[in-house]
Amino acid sequence: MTTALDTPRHTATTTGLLRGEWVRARSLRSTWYVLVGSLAGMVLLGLLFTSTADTGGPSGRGGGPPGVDFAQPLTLALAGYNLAQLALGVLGVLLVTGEYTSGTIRSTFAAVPRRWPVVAAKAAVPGALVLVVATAGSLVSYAVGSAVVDGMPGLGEDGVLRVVLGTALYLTAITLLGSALGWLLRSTAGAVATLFGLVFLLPVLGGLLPAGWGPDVVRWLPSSAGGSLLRLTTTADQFAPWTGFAVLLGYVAVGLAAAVWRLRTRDA
Amino acid sequence: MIELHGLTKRYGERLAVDDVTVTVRPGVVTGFLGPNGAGKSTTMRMVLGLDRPTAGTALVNGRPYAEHRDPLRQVGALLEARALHPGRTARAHLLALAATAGLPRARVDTVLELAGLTAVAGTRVGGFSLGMGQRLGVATALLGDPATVVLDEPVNGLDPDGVLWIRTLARRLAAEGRTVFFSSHLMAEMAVTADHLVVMGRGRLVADVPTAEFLHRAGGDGVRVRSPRATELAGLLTGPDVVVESAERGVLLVRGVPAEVVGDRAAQAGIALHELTPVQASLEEAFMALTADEREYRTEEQPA
Repeated sequence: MTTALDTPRHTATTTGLLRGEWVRARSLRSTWYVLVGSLAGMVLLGLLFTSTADTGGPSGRGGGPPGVDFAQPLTLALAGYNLAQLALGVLGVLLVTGEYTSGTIRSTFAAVPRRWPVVAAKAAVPGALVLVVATAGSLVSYAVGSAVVDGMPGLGEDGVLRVVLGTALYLTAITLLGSALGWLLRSTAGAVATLFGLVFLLPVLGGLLPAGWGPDVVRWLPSSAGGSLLRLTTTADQFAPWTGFAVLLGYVAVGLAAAVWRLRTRDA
Repeated sequence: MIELHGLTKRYGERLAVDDVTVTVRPGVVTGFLGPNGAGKSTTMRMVLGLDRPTAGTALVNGRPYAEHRDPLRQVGALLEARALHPGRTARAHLLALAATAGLPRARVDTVLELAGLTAVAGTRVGGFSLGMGQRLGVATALLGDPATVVLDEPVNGLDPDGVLWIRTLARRLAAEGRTVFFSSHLMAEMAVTADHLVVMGRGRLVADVPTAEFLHRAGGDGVRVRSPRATELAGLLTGPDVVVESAERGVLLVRGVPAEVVGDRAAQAGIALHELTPVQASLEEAFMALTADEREYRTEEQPA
């Protein structure tokens, strides 16, 4: 032992926890693949949709991902978020379940026996990373779209900046939802499947519900509620933009709180 | 120092750990012995605050693990082989834990060197052999320069070099005044490394004794005698506590009489001896003898 250490000066601090999670996230190649892939995918899909807008979309039939309004250039430019949310949600899952499947979570808990600060740090670091990358992604997508298609509304116009930055906020929230599911299910496959089900499958199934009360259910789904923030105008069936986003954040908060509660009561 | 008081862990109907009371002292290497499923790992996990005891307490350096403000300074543990993310380098693995625990970065290089991993510090752990992974696990355990070291099966998967390294390291850590508590099912390894033994069987404490005493009690020491007139010699060695066995022609295993006495009596009778060897019961024999008849014993006296 060449380095003598004092005690109890060496204790877990907020800075240390964040730095530790930053090292954990950056030291895995998958983190960078997902971040760069999402950024590129967002911009390229936006380019694809905006550049084919005149001819009715990529398939020429006005098709495209659900919820994309081909008459609105802003929505077209940002349509790549649909793909990015998958990758980023999986990143949120992986940064948690990767520690469970490899067993490293136990050495982390040994260093931080209270455990809940680990949940917080493991949400804060990927959250911050994704917020930065997704903000860049939506701004670049918007810029590329403006260059390609006519009639793109300016950033100063009503709601446009909110939609552009809201896309980044939405993607961050989905990453955190992935993180919460990772804590709760501890298995990559289970958490990813649940995330996909919540974000993609349920809104489609919800569309099959009777018109009388179906929309009242659908708008409460995480992706539908959070998606309100990405719309220039919302209909009566949808939440107002920030209300919807608050609902999505509510799911994230409940998920993370449930994760902390389970860690307190369960063996690691 | 590790103090267990009435420590119990129940999984449904099964008692994994059943009312274990034992103290693991600093300054000596304490071996934790028992067959697979005896409850060793569960006990160690409760010491580390990873599993909640159903009843009883586990104190480390005077407090429950979770109440320490600097837990990695108090206890360093290797609990399972390869608890490492395959996509991360050895250095990143240690750096992350050092940051989380508030330990200086310099410790990372110190323990990498200690484990002989400096050359492969930048290699992803996925490419490590079992032995290298085990060395990194030990490096992780020592990251906080802990007063108590808990190692679960540290020699598993190690080559002879690595086994010797663990043995030397365990003895050195104990000599530095630390508490060293390590489990193994390799009894021969225990016999040479541990000063003191804590033995568990089916969740219960079976023995808590110095290694030498454990060996002595479980079979006692004996003398192997080889002589062309073995049968005649056996007749001369009768006594109240003396047991003479003969596994093959011309060879006796004598218990209860020291080698000197056997030699002297043979000389007096003019019997030639071809071999006279004191033998120690193996830890394996001792353990089998102990668990076979479910005998339970403990000693109150502890080594200095």
